[in-house]
Amino acid sequence: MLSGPIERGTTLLPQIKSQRTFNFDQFRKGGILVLWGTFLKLVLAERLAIYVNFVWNGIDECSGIFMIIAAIAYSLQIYCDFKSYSDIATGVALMLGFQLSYNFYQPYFSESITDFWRRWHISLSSWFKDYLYIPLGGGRCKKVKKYRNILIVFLISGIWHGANWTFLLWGILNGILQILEDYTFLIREKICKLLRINCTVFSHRILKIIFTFVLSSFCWIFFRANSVTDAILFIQRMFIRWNPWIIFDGSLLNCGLMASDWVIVMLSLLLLLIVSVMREKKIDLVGNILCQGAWFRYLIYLLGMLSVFAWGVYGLGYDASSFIYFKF
Amino acid sequence: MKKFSRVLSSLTVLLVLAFSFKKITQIFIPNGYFSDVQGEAHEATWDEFYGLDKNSIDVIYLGSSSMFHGISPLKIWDEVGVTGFDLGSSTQRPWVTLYFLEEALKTQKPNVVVLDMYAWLWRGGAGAEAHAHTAYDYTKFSIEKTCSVQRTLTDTGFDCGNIFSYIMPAFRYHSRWNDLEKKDFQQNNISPYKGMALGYAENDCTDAFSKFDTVKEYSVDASVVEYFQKIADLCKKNDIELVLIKLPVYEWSEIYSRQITEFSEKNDLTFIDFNYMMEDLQIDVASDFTDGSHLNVKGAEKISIWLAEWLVQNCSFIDKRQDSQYAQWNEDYQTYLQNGRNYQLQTCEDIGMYFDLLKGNPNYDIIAYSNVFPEKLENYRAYCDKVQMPFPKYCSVGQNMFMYIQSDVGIKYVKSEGMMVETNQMTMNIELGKYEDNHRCLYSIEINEGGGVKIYDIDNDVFISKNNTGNLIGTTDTGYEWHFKSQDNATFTVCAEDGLVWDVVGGNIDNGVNVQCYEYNGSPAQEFYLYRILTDGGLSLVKNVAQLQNGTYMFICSGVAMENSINQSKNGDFSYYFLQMDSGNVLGKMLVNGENIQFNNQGDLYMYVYDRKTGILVDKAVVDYAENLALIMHEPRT
Repeated sequence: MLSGPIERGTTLLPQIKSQRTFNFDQFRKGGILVLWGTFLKLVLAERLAIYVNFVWNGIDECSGIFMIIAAIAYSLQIYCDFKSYSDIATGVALMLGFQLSYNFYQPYFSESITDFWRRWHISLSSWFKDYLYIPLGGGRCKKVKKYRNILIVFLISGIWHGANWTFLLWGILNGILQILEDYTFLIREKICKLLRINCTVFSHRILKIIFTFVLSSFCWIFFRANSVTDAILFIQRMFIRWNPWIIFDGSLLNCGLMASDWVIVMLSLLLLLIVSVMREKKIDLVGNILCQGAWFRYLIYLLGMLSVFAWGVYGLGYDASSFIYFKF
Repeated sequence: MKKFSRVLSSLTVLLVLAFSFKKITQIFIPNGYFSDVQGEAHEATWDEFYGLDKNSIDVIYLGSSSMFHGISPLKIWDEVGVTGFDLGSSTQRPWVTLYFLEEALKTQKPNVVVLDMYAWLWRGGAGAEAHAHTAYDYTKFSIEKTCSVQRTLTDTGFDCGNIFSYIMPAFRYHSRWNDLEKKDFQQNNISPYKGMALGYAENDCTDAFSKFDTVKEYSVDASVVEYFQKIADLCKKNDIELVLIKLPVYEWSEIYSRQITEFSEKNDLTFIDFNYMMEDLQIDVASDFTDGSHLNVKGAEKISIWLAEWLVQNCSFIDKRQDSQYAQWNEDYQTYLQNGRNYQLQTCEDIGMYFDLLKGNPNYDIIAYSNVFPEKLENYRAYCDKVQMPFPKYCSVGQNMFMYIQSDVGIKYVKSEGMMVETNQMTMNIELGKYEDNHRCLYSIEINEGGGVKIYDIDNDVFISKNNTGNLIGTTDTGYEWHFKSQDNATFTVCAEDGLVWDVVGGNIDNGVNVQCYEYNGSPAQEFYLYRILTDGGLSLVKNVAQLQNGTYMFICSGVAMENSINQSKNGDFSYYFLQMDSGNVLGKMLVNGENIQFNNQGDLYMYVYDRKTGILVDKAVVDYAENLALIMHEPRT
């Protein structure tokens, strides 16, 4: 309840007070959500974490592409990790008859940082918006004041995640990026008009999505780093070497993940992508699964459980309560 | 109605899930921790135990690894007809022993429990988690198991995981998904050795045993004693005689022995400490151990024979060897013996001995082929498929010929149309080894039409020829060839080119009697054995024609190896026989009970020895034919 979707009293309290009856459909939906969350956590997030930790624990030995892959991997890891937690919480709640709001709305499909913060950890962001940003004056005021408000919100958000300069920097960085976006909005629009760029087509939007992903991944570096010096060292070492061959010569296989692990990572990411696209297109995947024939449904459950069982990264030396976000 | 169908479908899902999980557990649990170390001997102890007939076991053996290496239940069966089963496990803690006994008593009513007291020294330590899983993961779920696991988990000093990993061990092994192999999807191999792990290696453990008897003070862990007491009480309650033993291990000291004796006296039990009986039982630290803590089969049998006697003298048993209900035990004993022979075969480095092991053994099928044509087997398999003929389980490949050999029956020819090539070239028959006066005998050298054997006198550097008057002479002319004809009684006659044969003058079999050439009359005076020449004395060539005598060792050279072998023999250190061939493209023949395996002298002779019952490849030997008929390789050596 603390780290999952942070539910408003107005939506949650009436549900607690009201009489609930067992709803089989909701129960099944919740079950699938829990399974999906477990999959994201154990199969994807925990596996990516092995590589990410390997690089971060040996910043001095890694460089170039190792760093870049680690940065990307961490973006995906923290998303899967946090999303899995929200999904499990939402799923369990649904099984018990509570409706919790969605906490993530495909954040990595965002076309700008502003967009990103509308899709990432929605319950927290909207809380900040309603209880901090708007009381401060929100965006309907002078630009300088608006930018100040944005900075304050992200600063607080940073500190909220942990008492460390890294989180503070991460918050400020996000704030600055959002301010820059807002500040350059008119200029960018003019350039697009001048060069007759169609901003609504997929090819243009995918560029924006990639650019936004790169920016947010960059910010996550500070989030992951143990100290600001580590983060700066990490960024430095990203650029001191250009070694793309490590992707092909097997060097990546010496970083804690075997070839088969990478295959699982890729396949899982593909699955995540498909599911995300469907949600973005508002296709009700769970509903679709539930109205299929029994053999198909059970096959899905079985395969889901089997893959979590076998491919999940857990067991001796693994502490299942180490959800990254839990401590927040 | 809707509710009912929902409940029904939910139940179905749960059932399917439970079933799937059971299957998955079977796949993910390793087929036994021992498979890597000890071959298949100790792979599925509990599967084997659960498979036993109810109340068919007289004695249960419990204890640590020295127990399942050091007692041979099948040897004891063969000695006195007492059935026993080894439920030892690695570093078996007393609380595991107690649980194993409880579990065993659910299906068996033993008269006696023999318990190895190694656990007296138990202190926990490295590998404890693996040992705990080894012990628990193969038994059925029960309350006793949970209690025992709980006890193990309270062991301090190391992490044994959580109870969940013992109740549902599949989760302990889930990360094996990347290492799964064929055997994980198959049933465990059920071995017939009654829980014993067969170690054959003979390692000199004299060094290890220098640590023997060096501990002077020891205070035993209180919970160890507590659980041994529980075991003693459980036995008493079930009217089972508990016999404490300690099998020889290098880390033993008298102080332990004394303490255990006190414990046994208190409980009115017997304690047999084999550590101090090694001399009486002729147990040799140099050859009866695989390592300082584990006896090999040879050592285990010495102990087992003694223990068998002790058991029948001190406890009451019925000899079941003649009981038809226990006929399987006799068969299992044969398999046990055979396993020992397999090991001998796999490690044998002497070709004569190798053939001896094969000869007459009804348990082997042999494929032999020369040259490097293993793909011919596949050709033949394809041919069999084509003509819808069953592919013989094993067959041999001559140069273009396939044969199926049964070492006790002989060869069954399988001629394949269009593949068989008959040749009129000289062939050589070698009967597989036969004991004769303690010498390995190779007889029936037969040279067919068109070829012969050149006989070389190594001391005088001459070849044996024949003059017109029928006398054997030495000559530098290398051209004279003798023809060897095998006789039914495992001897051969040596024929000259004019048809006369070697004949001992006057039929005298004394040493030094002259040999002449004479008309064939089938008398023993014309029958010769051909012995393989041994390094350990008995090196005697056809060195003096006048002194050639019945039973004289003969040295027959191969063209390829002639020079080599002559040099070797002059140094007095050659050990094999050689066959002279006069053509570069000769097919050799090995004779097995009158039938021939042909092989080509240009390549090595490959022999695949299979277990007839199981079809498992026991050994692959390569006989370096061209050089010196030495065994140059063994595969697989488990």
